[in-house]
Amino acid sequence: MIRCDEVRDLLSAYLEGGLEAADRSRIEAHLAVCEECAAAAEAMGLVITAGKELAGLTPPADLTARLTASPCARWLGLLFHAVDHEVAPEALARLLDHLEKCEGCRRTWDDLTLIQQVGAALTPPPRLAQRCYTAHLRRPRTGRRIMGMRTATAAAYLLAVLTTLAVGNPVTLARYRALGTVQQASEIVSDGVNQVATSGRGEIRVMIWRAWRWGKTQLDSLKELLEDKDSTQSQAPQTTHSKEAQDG
Amino acid sequence: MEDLEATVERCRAGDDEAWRALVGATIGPIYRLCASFAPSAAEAEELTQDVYFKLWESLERYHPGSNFMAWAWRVAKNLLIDAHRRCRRERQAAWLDPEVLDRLPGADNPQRTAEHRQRLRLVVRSLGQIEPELAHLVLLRDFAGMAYQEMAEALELPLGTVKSRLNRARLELATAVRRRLDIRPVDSQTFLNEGGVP
Repeated sequence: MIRCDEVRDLLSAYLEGGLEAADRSRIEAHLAVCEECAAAAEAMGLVITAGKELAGLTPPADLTARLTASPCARWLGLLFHAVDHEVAPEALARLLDHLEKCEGCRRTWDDLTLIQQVGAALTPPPRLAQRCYTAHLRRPRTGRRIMGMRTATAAAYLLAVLTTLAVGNPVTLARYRALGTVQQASEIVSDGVNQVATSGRGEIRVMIWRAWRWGKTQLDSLKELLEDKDSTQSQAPQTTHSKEAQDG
Repeated sequence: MEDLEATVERCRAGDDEAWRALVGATIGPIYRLCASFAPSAAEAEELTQDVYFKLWESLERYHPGSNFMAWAWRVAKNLLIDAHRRCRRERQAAWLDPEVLDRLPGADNPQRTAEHRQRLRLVVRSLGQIEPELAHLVLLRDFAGMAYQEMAEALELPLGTVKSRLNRARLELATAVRRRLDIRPVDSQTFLNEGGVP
């Protein structure tokens, strides 16, 4: 006679009707005399039946419509991921293709990147933290008035806007592999920042340097990306050539 | 309908009609998968939308010849497991939600609906008592209705391993159900490990 452990091994297949007639008969004979296995089979059958009741479940009527209604809603989700640098290279390529065609999404992309740049530029300067820490040691100020934080913030915002306008969107530039443009823009903005920073005072100088340092890091990484791309393409001239031939 | 590979290929090229066709062809099993793992009807819908976004975002990773549901599980596994974690914490499931039960076939029969609900409530509580990995197997097979071959591909395991693990999961769940029903107290370790006719 078949043993309990053998029955347990075959119980799923038995309940799903996946056994040969001979095995099925042996199990049925065992279940007729073994209370333990019969109770297990009953409980397992209950689980399988409960799950199967979902077989006829249909999605809500409007779900398909919501999933397919607005293509730009999906692109927007991808935009958020791209701005956070959390997107696969293949998906990014698809997104860039879409941005070329869709003005609305392109505007959103520009807005999102600008907001992110401004946000990144508005981190407090290291000296400010030190000042806050030692503030209680100082006497109340009666001397010259240092430019307020609000003005400094506005200046940093303006700088980030100017940087974006002058340099352009980093990813879009990467798309067109405009290394020369990036270098020129970098020099122009660098000169401008140097002038403001050397003639400015107090917090505004710190904020400007802070914003510029961020911009410089972005530019450097962009240059590295472009140089990498160039070197990759020079290693595979055959592919590029054939692609251009196709385009042409 | 054209084959799935061609539809996916057109989706990759940005064809919105192809995306509509893909959603239309797969919404049934994908929604059922999400409803199996989500804690409420509303979250099942949200999860379905999140899963579809994830699939759309990952279209490049779909290889021709792959099983679509197996690929969907691999791509959206984390979303589904997170949802199931909430089910366990809240001791809830979308398939206990009246909104879902009302959409099941035979929902116009109050007695049948009450029986459904009773059985499903028993199972959701028992599922919370077994290992999450084992519960996922039961949900994939018995609730989401995945085929063994799909599960093997999704979990990247040999077919035989999937079958034996699922059998083990169902036995543990059956033990938990019996405890809850209190038909007859049972020591699960004794039941699972001891052989021979009692």
